[in-house]
Amino acid sequence: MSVTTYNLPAVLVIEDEVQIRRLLRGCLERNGFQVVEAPNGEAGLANAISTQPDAVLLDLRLPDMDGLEVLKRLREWSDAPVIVISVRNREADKIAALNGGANDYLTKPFGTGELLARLQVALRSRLPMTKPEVFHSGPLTVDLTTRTVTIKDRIIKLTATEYSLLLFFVQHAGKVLTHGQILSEVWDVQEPNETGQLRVYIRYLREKLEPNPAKPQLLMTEPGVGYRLVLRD
Amino acid sequence: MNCAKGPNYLPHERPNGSSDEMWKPRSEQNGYRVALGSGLSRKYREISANRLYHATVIDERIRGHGPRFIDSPRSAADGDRGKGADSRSIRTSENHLLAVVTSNTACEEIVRRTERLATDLNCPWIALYVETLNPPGEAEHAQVAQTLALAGELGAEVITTTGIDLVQSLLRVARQRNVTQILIGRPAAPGWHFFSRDRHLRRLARESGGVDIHVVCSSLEPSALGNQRWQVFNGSTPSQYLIAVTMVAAITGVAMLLGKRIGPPHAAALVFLLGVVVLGCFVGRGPTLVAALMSALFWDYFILPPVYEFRINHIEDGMVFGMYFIVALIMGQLTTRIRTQQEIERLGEERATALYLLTRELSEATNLDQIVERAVQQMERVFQAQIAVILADASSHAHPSPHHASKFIPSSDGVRAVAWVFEHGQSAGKFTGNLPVADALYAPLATSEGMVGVVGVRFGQSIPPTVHQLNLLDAFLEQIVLALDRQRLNEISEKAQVLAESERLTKTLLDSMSHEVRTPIAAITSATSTLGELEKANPNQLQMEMVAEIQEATGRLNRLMGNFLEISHLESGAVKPNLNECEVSDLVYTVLSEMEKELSRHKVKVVVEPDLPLVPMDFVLMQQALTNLLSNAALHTPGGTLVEVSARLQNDALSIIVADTGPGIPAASLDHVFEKFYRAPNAPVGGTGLGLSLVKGFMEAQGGLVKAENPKVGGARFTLRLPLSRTPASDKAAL
Repeated sequence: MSVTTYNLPAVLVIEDEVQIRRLLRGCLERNGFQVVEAPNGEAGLANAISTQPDAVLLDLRLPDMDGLEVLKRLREWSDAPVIVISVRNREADKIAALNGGANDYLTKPFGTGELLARLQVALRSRLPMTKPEVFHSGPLTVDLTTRTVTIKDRIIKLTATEYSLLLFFVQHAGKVLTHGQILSEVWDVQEPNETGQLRVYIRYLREKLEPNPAKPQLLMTEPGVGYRLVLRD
Repeated sequence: MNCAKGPNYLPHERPNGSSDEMWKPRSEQNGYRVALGSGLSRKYREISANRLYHATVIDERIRGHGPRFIDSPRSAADGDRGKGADSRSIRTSENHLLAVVTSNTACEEIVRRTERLATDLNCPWIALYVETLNPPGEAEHAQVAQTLALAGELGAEVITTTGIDLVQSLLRVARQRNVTQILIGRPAAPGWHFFSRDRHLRRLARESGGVDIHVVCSSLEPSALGNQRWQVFNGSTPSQYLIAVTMVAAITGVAMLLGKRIGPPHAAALVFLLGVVVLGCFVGRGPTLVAALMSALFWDYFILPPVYEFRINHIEDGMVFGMYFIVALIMGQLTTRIRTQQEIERLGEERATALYLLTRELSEATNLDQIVERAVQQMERVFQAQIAVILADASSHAHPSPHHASKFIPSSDGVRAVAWVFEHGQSAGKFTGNLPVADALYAPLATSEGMVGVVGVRFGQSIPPTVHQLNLLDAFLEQIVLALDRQRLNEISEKAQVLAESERLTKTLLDSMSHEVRTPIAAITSATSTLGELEKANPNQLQMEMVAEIQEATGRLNRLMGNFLEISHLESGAVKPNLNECEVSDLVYTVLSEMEKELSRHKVKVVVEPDLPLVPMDFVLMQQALTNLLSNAALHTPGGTLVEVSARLQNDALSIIVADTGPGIPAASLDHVFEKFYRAPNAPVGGTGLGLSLVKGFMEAQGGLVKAENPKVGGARFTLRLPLSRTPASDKAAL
């Protein structure tokens, strides 16, 4: 038993509410994770160093420090995926957490199914790709070496800007990218509210990649926060 | 040297190639050139006002010397004192004009001319009145006060100063204020050169240094100026003359009685001289002069042999007579000057003391009532007048009533004057040009934020207030305004503190509510979803139903909590829309994909007009608004009903319409659906009563609107409208 648990992915839960911790432990352990609990930020950071978890579930409201501060200090040395779980549902909070290095943001209350799905995506982004130069998600294939984009074997022609936008999504597949992050990376624009041209290019990309651009299956809008390239098998 | 010389200044006579920044008239025949001395290199110009054409041409030339400003708003002429102050502060020119105000009626024209020039040069200007040795009479005072009031209305900075020497005082002010050009009236008709301002003009031109002097010649006859030659005798009462005559007569009597005992007539002359000097210490210049004249004549007639004859036999007697006369004159002049100086200093000190007392009293006042009470008290004492203070009140601006500390109630004319002052921001009432029939003088209290009140001054005197009094009144009003301003700012900062505190409390409360309620909801949700998973593996009909019931109730509780927090957030004014260009179809489909489960029992039709432009909106607020409308439709219509979402442009606005073919909104409820916690009588369970009022709040925060209607085809129709361009209103909402 101990041998098997050793190989299970470890999830660190930094959450002050004991009932939530208990429920998360039960749910996660049943679904093949091992769980490390921490009731506050200091303990969370200490446990992160000692256990080197594969993923972190982080509450923003902690008794000793703000969750964003924990995230910041964690990101100084760790690139383990962090999923923020919080009752704060304002976009500003989400953007702050994502810009601070969180991989995902889940608003409480959430169903366990959703949590597990997000956790899988976060963990998958850490797995080494079998063929790292080729990216697959559903019908989409991006060959990073030849810079070719195909949908169901049909080659899609992209402009330079469209390709660099897509490339940024591919590099962070499954993760919500905030408007600010995209603008700063792809356009080198530091004004996160100038989203007009970003929205235009997202539409171009959807028109080229999605079977029905109005109902996107790949490039999803995260309202008020940003976009996400969905990871699919 | 009069205006008839006008043609000498025809513009074509300007010397060609004159690079000097000022234009000098070519003609050496010019009266002023002669008067000033041809060697003077002073920049100097005469403007002939009675020849309008020339004056205009010359004005243009003066303008040409200053920096040109393409936009030269005449705002200073708008009259309002506050506006005047504003326009002063925004004027950035290097020029600074000074109009010299005297009791001359023509001075109004100087003031108007200066104003026009200042407007054209876009520079600030000063109206300066120097009160000199000879205090002007009542009529002159009124004239000066009127001219200064006019200058104030035209946007001038009004300065009055007291000094023995007009030229020195004038140049002192000019240097302190960095004045570049002085406009002064043309002196009186020639004839009394020693006292006329012709002499002043020459000195002014000589001592002005870098300041340009413009002599303005008025078309008006300088009516008041004629008094100047008689001012020597002004300011003395008949009793002073009587004293002078009596004293000289007494000295003559004593000298005659004592006769030869006091020695030769020259010794007696010294007694007369002593008498004149002593007189000079107590009476004015006129009586002193009369005494000197009488002493000389009496001495000659009664004392100097041959007695009882106006005859002077010896040359030394003549010399004594003449020198004696001169000495008496000078003594008289000197003593008078000293006494005038003392008087000026006394006035200055009185003013300073009064202001000091007022400032001290006002600084100790801690609230509005105290400020008014103390101001009334001080003003009553200083002006020997009854004071009324009428404060502007936001609630009853139309009929402001006097503050309870007021000592009189304005008459009906007074009330009109008060209203006029409130409206125009200028003094009105008795002794002014506006509504002079009113019972008192009403002056404005204007702070940087506009009119805050009116002060009524009912002088005990029947004559118009002197320049000194008006000047002091202005200074008092300024101090009161400062105190009121300070009080107002204090109140604002206190209010802001209270507001910030309450906002902080609200936020803390909401955050805490949000956390404390949602945490158990999260636990329930988490537990039931796990339970649901388990049930799938090992199905039990009843248990699965129970789990579904719990999940639905939890979902509703969470929605209710969310709506409640949203509405509190909206009402606290903390919602600041983040307007961005967004794609409408993205909005619609994002919402629809999130609502998929809730709308699963309904037929949904989407009609988004192709090629819609990007519309400025807060994506999240729009998403919430549309979500609430759709969830409202899902809740209030039976399963299988068609719900149509359409988006199109209508009259420069984006319309997103959610229409269903359900039962529609009950007619009685149509006007209330957007009210908080309003539930239509037949509404099915499950709603929170907050959804639609939130939609309204979200739309209004973005400068848009929402409306509900029952179209003829049936069902209910909700329309969200957003303006395409950011109107000022929506920008205001965005702030």
